Amino acid sequence: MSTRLLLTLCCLAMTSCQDLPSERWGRLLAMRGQLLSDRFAPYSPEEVIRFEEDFAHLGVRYSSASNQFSFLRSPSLFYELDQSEEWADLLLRHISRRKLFLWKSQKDELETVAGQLSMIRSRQLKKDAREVLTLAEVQLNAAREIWRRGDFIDAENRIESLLETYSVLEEKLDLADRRFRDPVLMEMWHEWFDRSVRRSVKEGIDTLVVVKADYRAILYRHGVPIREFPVELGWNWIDDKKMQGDGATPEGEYRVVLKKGRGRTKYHRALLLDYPNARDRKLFKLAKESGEIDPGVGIGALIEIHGDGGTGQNWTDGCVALSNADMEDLFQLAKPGMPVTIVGAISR
Amino acid sequence: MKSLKSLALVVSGLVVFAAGCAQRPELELNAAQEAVKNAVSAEAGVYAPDELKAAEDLMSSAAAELSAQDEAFALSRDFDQAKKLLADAEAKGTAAAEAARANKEQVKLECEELKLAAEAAIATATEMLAKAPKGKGTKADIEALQGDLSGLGTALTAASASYDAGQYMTARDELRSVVTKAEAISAEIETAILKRGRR
Repeated sequence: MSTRLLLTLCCLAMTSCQDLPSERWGRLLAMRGQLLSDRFAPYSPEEVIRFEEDFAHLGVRYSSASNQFSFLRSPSLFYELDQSEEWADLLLRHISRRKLFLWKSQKDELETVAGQLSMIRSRQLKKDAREVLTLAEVQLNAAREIWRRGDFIDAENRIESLLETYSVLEEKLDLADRRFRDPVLMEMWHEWFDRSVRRSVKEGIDTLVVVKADYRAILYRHGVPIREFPVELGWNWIDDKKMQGDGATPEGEYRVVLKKGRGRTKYHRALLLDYPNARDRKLFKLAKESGEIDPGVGIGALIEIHGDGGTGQNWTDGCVALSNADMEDLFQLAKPGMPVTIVGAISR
Repeated sequence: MKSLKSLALVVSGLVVFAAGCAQRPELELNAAQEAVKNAVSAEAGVYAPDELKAAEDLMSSAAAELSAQDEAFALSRDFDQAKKLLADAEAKGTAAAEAARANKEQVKLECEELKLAAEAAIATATEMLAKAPKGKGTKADIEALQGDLSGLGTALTAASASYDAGQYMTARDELRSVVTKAEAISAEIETAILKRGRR
């Protein structure tokens, strides 16, 4: 009797090992291998660590179960195996989706910044803005390469640095916008503009108004605009002229003091203005007294409206440049003494 | 007496059964695991990702095979396939580590060459800019190009920091970008000089 029982137990022991779901366990091991690899783990590290902790616990149970008789195995092991497999599958899908999302969002972000930088590159910028722009362009190209390699974690960090640089660049670009929206300056410019137009009506003379923010010179006759000319300005066009060599186009109420025809200027035709006027001299004196301007520096002179423009850049040392054809027309219309008012911006 | 004989027979059977069990390849398993671990430590994920993936895939297959054999009827267990997979995984792991070290060294050298090239390109552009004719019409361009060169200097410093931190892949991308930009700026300076010559 006891022998039969023993034999039965032996048979049970020999056959029991086939009951464990080895194929599913193998699948789970393969999924775990994927999750722990560099291609997946860095995209959801906390979740992968949690999974790994759970898996370690399951591994111990599975290992001891493989040494047990099948009738001694807890059914919960099979349930836990199911759960773990489902979890690994979900994690793999989640990470794949996250990678796809990063691929797409980073691609869009890089394209957007590239477009914006390209637009900014085509603008006339000051040295400090160009410095930041170039840094941003280098960062953009590096981030693109990292993104192409498929390292979306590093690409994310690089894009973050790029966006920081971009915001610095925007701050520098905003200087122009800020100055041309300054309410105190706007009020002053409007006062000059209104006075010029009124004078044009009252005295029946032509008046030229140059609006720096619009790159436009408008000729008024009896208070009515009769011609508009695109203009180019000093390379430091945003600022008001303070001194010699600052590259800024002066802002103020001037008059044409001399017409320079062919052979008297190297810029086709020119209208010499009476810069510096009384206001310019007063501001220059104050700036010198406050130490803002070095003692040896002069106020500058020879501010003209001249030809050779049409380059698409602000390239003069402070003069206003028109294309030769426009300059020809303006030269015909202009008379010595014609008022020329240069303002930063006016609201229309 | 009869039952004692039967018991002896059963015990002998169990001894034969136990002796007949194939040995689990623990040494091979440890060696393969160690090789893959070494590959990961050698940054194979960055410098030899394909080789590392091959080793990890083999490791997963070997683990599955081991598990299948563990659960098989003891007398029918056969670890030959698992041993083969483990040996392959070990070989691939070792190869991935070697490839990672070699590639890292290669990228490092490339960075050093690129750094020299970037410095030379910036120096050339700076020299060209210094020789560019100054005057009305070029002052704005020169100022702007000086800004570009300052920006490149900052970018080069950032790339050098990546290199010093051992992030050679990133440093390489950054340095390549600096070289390309420096060359573009040189071309722009040349165009500006030619444009000035035609004025």
